Amino acid sequence: MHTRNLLLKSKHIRALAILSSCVVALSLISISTSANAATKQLVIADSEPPQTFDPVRANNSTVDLVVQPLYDVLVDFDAKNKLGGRLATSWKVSPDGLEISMSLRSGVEFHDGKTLTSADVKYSLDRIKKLNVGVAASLATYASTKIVDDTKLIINLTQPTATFVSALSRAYILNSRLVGANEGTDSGQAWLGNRAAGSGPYTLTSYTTNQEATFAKNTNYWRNFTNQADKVIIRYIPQGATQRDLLKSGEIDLAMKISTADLNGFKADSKFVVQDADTIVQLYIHMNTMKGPLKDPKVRQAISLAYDYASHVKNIMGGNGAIAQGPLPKAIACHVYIPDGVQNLSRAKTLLRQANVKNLKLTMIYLSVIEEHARGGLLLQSALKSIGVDLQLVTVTYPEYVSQISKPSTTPDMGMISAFPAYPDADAVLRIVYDSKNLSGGNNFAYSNPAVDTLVRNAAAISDSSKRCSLYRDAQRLIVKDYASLFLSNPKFITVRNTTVTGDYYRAAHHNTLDFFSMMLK
Amino acid sequence: MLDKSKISSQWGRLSWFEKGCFVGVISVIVLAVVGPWIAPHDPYFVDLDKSLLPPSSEHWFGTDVDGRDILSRLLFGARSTLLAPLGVIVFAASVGTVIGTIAALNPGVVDELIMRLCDVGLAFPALVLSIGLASALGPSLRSAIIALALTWWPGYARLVRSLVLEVTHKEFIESAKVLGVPRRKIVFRHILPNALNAMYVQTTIDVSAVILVISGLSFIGAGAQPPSSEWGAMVTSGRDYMLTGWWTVVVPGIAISLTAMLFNLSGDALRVLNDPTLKQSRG
Amino acid sequence: MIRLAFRRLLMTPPVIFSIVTLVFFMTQLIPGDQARIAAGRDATIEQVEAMRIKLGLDSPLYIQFGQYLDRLLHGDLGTSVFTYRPVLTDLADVLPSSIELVCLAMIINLAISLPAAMLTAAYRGRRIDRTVRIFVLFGGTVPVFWLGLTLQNLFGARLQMLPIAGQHKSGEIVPRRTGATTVDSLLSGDFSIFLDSLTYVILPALTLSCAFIAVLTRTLRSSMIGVLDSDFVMVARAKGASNLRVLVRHALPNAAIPTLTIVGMQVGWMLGSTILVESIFGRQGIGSYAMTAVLQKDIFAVIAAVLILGIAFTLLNLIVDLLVPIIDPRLRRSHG
Repeated sequence: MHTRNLLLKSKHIRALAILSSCVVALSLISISTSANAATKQLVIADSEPPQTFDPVRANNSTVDLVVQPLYDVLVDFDAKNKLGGRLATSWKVSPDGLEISMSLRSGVEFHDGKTLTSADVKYSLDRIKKLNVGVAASLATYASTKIVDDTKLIINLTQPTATFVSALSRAYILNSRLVGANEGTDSGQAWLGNRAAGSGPYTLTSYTTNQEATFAKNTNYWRNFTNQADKVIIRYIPQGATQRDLLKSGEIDLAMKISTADLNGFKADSKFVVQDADTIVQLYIHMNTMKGPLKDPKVRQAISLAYDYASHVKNIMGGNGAIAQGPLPKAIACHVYIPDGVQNLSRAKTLLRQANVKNLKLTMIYLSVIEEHARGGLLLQSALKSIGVDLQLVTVTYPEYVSQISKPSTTPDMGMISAFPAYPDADAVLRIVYDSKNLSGGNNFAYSNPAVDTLVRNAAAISDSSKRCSLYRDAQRLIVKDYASLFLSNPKFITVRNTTVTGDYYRAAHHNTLDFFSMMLK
Repeated sequence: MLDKSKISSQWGRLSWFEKGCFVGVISVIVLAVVGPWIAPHDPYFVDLDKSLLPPSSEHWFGTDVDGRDILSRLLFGARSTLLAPLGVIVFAASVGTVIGTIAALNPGVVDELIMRLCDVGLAFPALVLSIGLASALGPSLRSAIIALALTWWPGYARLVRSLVLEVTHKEFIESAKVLGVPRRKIVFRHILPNALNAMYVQTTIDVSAVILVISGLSFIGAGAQPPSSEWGAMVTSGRDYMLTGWWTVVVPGIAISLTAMLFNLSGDALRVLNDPTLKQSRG
Repeated sequence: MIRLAFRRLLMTPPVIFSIVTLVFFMTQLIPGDQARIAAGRDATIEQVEAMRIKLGLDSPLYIQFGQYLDRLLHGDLGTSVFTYRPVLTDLADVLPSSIELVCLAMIINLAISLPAAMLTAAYRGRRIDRTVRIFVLFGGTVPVFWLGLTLQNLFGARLQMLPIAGQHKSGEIVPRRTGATTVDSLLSGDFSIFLDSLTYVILPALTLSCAFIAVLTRTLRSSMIGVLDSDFVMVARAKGASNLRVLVRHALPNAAIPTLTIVGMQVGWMLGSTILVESIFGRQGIGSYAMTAVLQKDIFAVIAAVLILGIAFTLLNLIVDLLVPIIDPRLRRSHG
């Protein structure tokens, strides 16, 4: 080979080598070191950014997570699902159930220094009613607030509602003067899109859309800080694999979305802690009791007996959860004893024969984008095949799911969906999902039993908790007897963190969020 | 268009490497056709106790997280993986050819209008359309095929139009016109065959492109859905196990990549064969 | 020439208008009751209906379309039913980082394709030709997210040479001027942050560019081969010019036209296919914005995203079509 023909002469090669070593050197310089020790900083990875910072949308967990540290509520649930006062020091429901008198704590300041009074509570509740979206769904019977003085108020309802006080756990109190000044034409929704007007333990320092939210400790907070972080950063990382890598490299301290496959690796590593907590979430497969082949309860019973519940929890959930027991998640009060779902293929086949059913073909809609649902659907399909039932799986998006079940005529045979109760009360599940009044809503899957309707509606109105519980227990038994749904699993809420942070930071009443105030740094 | 003697003489002009590519493409197609018959296991049988087994003599490529044999899934899935681009390209090429020819043979307003229509089609982001159609029709391989077919035809229309235009001005066409040969005969006998020769190249290369776009759509949930064993869907469902069960992602990934490469390289070889002015040095 | 430019410019608004109309009616096909989505999952029927009236969804479709066009002509892209903020504000937040990503991806594309094409054209048929071609092709046929996740794991997690995800170091706040972290840090004068933010874009840009490198290299290679085989190059070689000189002096300039044409289209395509890379590397951008919009049936956001992508594509092609005859006088008299 003549040297003339060489494309790369030796001087070119030398230049290339120098250039590439410069590039490598530059990139090595920027390896990040972990958190600055002087300011106590906590970095969290979440997968889905909030659509807004407006607390009226806190029914959505991505919003709830970011508004929780920025605002206060009147009452709230703790990590053990016990309701206690926060801004409210005491409250009393009138005998007719139409009035709730409350006393507020004094000396609470908003982040801009203004004092929190009854006027702010009235403003916040009125705003929720006016906008009629988001958390308003669980506060539907709110009528008005009467201000007695700066720390005393009376909330008026249109009808007695046992769950109203519980639902207040998502009614965040806004700084009425600040929001009022920026109301614009939409009651401040656009303004609150990436701003805070609260009194909570943290202030919002910055928010880069869909990227990162930074919070700083509010030193004027009415509760005393001990070892909480001075600065909290939430980074939005959609992929679980990326969160895993960031956690391992030390760039983040806590990851909220680690896939089941990677958990074992972290469990075995002493530098990390896999923290789990019981939730009030439940996975269901609802069946169409009103039309189609599943109208026959015997067929529904057969289907319920076909699923391998134990395998679902062991293999699909990797043991991070338990088999569901009946329509109400076990962790919610008023749960009546109902045994675990158990697979019994021979009994299922017998039932199908008794119901005179051959070559049954069923369709199930589900959100296969969620891993547990995708694998559960496959497991069900396989199980049904072994009893001679052909199941077709149809992937839908969530809006499509809602749209299909909003009319009994378009509701398919089966639908797999999770329930995320907004607060730990039986009403949040049993009435929302099984009351026939909600047949044209987004939750009732073609189920209508007048006896159940009466039970849950009465229970919603009375305030005596033991009376309510007996009504709910009856309702649960009826729903189970109807074989309305397959009750699959109660997942655990799993986070993986390094050893610098501890605390009981999960509250079932605020699923998929973290209570910054309960997170302590070493 | 397909001249036997021409084919055998062209085949001789190929290097061993290029011959290998063509053989590879044919093998993939054959596997897709006979796949389901030679698969050793049932690709849909879920056996959670056999989850994520590494490659062994019983499972040549191991099992996925639901205990299904990957080799069998690969063989079953070859059909949908290859049929999809076929559907897209057949539609896009036929519609595109018709429209492109019309545009080329009718210069002026018709041509301008058709070209602007093509512009709209090309400017419309394919991914958004695919997600939109996936939402509208329910996510599935079918919605992905329709979406891609709708965005692919303008490219063919433009290509065919320029090919036809190029040929129309050639001398032998002019002579035919002078000799009074009817227009339709000119189009079908002389213009189209010459123009379409170049299309084979484009279609082969497009097959590889469509395979990849569809596997990308599966990743965001707008393509084939479980329990489909379309290769892109296989890669997607294995993505959480890239470290613990790499074979669930690597095997279908290599299958996609290899198939796409084979089609691509064959297309390149076709291009060289087609244009005798391109001299090939055999080093 | 001016007449051609004028005619093309005149044709652009109708093209854009058709895109807007198409996507408006396409979004209507997406299932899901927009009123219910906006009102929330547990909303009562009354609340849903109230929302329907508020959003104007109770009027017939053609009236809704008319109202939308009217607002559009006044520069109002509508309010998102997902974020409740003006769509224009949301877009201004997310678009710059996509542009940043695509720019760097294009630079990488050219930086690899041009030398690769020259190399394989010069040593055509030899082993190095085949090796480079297969390598480039492999990068282009490997599923994008696999490539992304692998690169991220290798360079980010294992070798720790580059950042794993994000657009800047946690907690580091750069005064926002354009929204693109690299540009903003440059504008604020902090050179070390600028270099740092560059490292965050490298892997995503590389992942995005691979598929496009495969196409550009192939096209440039055939164009350069065409030049190398031509007569005047034979003469040049006979006069003693080296291969490198021939390539740089003759093949490169001739490759300018096909490069420009393809690059013009590729920029538009790149911009429309950033979603996978954004998701893997935790970047914001128009890809994930558009996808969320479609899934949430956020009609105004979808239309705005498609509009931006469509306009970008159309304008880029227009510019390329106008530049080509300037570069090569032989092509001045073109047939549209």
